[in-house]
Amino acid sequence: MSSNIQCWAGSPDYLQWSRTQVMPFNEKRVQFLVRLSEALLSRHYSAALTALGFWLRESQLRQWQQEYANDDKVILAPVGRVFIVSPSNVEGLFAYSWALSYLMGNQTVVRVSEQLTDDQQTLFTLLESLHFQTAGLSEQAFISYNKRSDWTLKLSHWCQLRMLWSSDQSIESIRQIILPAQAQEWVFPDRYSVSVLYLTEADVPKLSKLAEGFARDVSTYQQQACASPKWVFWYQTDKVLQRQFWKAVDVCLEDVFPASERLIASQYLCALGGVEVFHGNIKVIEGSGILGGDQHLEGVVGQSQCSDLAMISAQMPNHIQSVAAFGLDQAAKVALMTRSNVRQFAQMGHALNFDKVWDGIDLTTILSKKVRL
Amino acid sequence: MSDWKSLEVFGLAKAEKHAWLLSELNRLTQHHQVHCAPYANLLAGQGLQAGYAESLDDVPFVAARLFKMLHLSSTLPDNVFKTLTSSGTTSQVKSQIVLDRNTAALQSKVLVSLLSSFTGKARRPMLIIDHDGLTGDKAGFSARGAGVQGLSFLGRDHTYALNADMTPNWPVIDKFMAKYASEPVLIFGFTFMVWQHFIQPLIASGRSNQLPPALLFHSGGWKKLQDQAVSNDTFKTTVRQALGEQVAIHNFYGMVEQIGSVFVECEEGHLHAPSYADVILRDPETLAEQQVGKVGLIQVLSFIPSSYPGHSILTEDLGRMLGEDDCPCGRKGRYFEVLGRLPKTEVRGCGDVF
Repeated sequence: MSSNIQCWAGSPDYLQWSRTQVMPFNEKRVQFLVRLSEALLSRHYSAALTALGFWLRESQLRQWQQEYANDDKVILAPVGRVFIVSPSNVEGLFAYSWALSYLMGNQTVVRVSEQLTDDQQTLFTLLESLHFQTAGLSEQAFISYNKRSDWTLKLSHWCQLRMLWSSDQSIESIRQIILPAQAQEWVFPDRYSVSVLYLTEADVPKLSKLAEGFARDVSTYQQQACASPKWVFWYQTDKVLQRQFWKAVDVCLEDVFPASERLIASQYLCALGGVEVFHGNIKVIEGSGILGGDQHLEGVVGQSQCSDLAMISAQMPNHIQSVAAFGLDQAAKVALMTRSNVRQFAQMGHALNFDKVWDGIDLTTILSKKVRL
Repeated sequence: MSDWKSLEVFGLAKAEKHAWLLSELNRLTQHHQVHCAPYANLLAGQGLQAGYAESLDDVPFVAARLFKMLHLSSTLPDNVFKTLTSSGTTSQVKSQIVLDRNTAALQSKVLVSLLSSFTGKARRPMLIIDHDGLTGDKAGFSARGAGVQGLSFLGRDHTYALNADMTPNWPVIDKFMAKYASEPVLIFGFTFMVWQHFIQPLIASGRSNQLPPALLFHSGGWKKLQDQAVSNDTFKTTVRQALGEQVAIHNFYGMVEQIGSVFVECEEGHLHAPSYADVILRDPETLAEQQVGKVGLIQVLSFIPSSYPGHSILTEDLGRMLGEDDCPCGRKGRYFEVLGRLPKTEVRGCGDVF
């Protein structure tokens, strides 16, 4: 069944595109992204769209261009045809991986969920109007289709790189569709993220700023993103300071999480053995280790007390992604990552800021090839 | 357990009822604390004392969704008689309700006692608006099957009105109608199915006014009918057009997490708490008890569940408390209306695109 396909922006004739001749950091493509960035920053769009606009600002693109400049030994070239499957919990994520694929000179087909969010609608409208002015998306397509159709199969045979941002279950189901030997695949499966905080009396003046950052990390996408911190490991931190921290976080989270969701999340973690130690706009459940990591909970954060870093790394699950950290020096971070699968550290308040090195993978590298001369 | 059979179904006024029910609920909280480890954890983790509630409002409640997330059982695996599952139409994950023989038997007895206060003691010829094939497998028992089986005790000559493909089984229906045209019969079905697969085809086929002394019980939620803009009033008017002006129609509110103690709609259109159960409405934001007239989340209380900790459950349904002990129908106890599901921002997992 090949029906039920919807093209939201770009060109729907992707199966007929001839081989791309565009190279990484092609000036027209850089200009297209700059115009997109300017458009996103020129009006009061949502925080997520503004963040995308900021990320694609010209100075940032030019910096990358320098970083990946060719030399007399190696020239950067596109992979070719890229098929991206994006998740629905972080609706703006597809734009970041697409922008990098686009910048690297690839032909890209992005599949998004059939139910568009307001932000997605806005972004597609904007992309379409820029495309109308510049024809900048003639080798790009943003589509939706019914999962029971055979489009995943067709696009898997079409592409040279399949990039899946999805749940473990969906990735395993897509992997039933064989990818030709010549194509590459990168997956971004379910991940779990935490925060490690080391506060001393000296940090008290910074507390409200830190709390604001933490509140931003949990409120963005309602804790449903892989990088959203769901558990806090307190490293050698006084309990009075912890309580001060939670009070400061609480102030920033008014009306963010519905009471019924907070109740469900808290009751669930308590049933698993946790103890509610703070309740307000967010609930804090203490446990000796991470509880309930496989559920999508809202409005609750777990916490554990740790006296040494080895204890913390022993608690990290295999699918740990981000650690939003405060008070850890580089040696401490290295100690944590060598004993666990931690894939990235983030500053408080920046856990969900996308980076071209994500989940331990340099996306620009996998979206391009290095041709030795 | 004190003797519930001696209680008049809708006869207890506030003070008497609260005293009886509170002691039952306190007993159950302690029972589940001893026999269900996750429930004991939940109480301890939330700083709640088991069995010392001084009012119904103080009885600890479990969020209904927990029955989808955890296996909550207060009975040994060997004693599990059957496991009920919710219909799962609005969510992929279904509730799991573990029943032992005692709880299952008590559910049936209470349900019969409660509903027979509307139908009378004599068993009536019964037309079931469903197909025969829901109640076979005890291990995985659906809410629909449990409802049909629970109500079948009120009837005789059980006749299934639908074929497996949900089309009306006309020969069977016609035979039933001809046989019992002037007898008080009982009809039961899930609200949407009664409307879609029985009343509508009945009208379309020109059959009308054939079961005038019937009593119709229906349950199971209004969402699909609201989508078709069918109100309770429209439903009743249409049913009476199809079956006869004298037909008694009673909706009831119940859930798989508390089978047995259902809340039946009276002649005034109000849902009533029987002596064995109660309802509390809670502010969706503060979870504090709401006063009469205010909209809130519905909490349901029942003395029945001993095999799982479901004696006090906070649902995700919204309702409005209408009063207590003073319904014009004469029944004592609290009465209320259900307004639908709590609107919530859908939590979408990483994989929803597939």
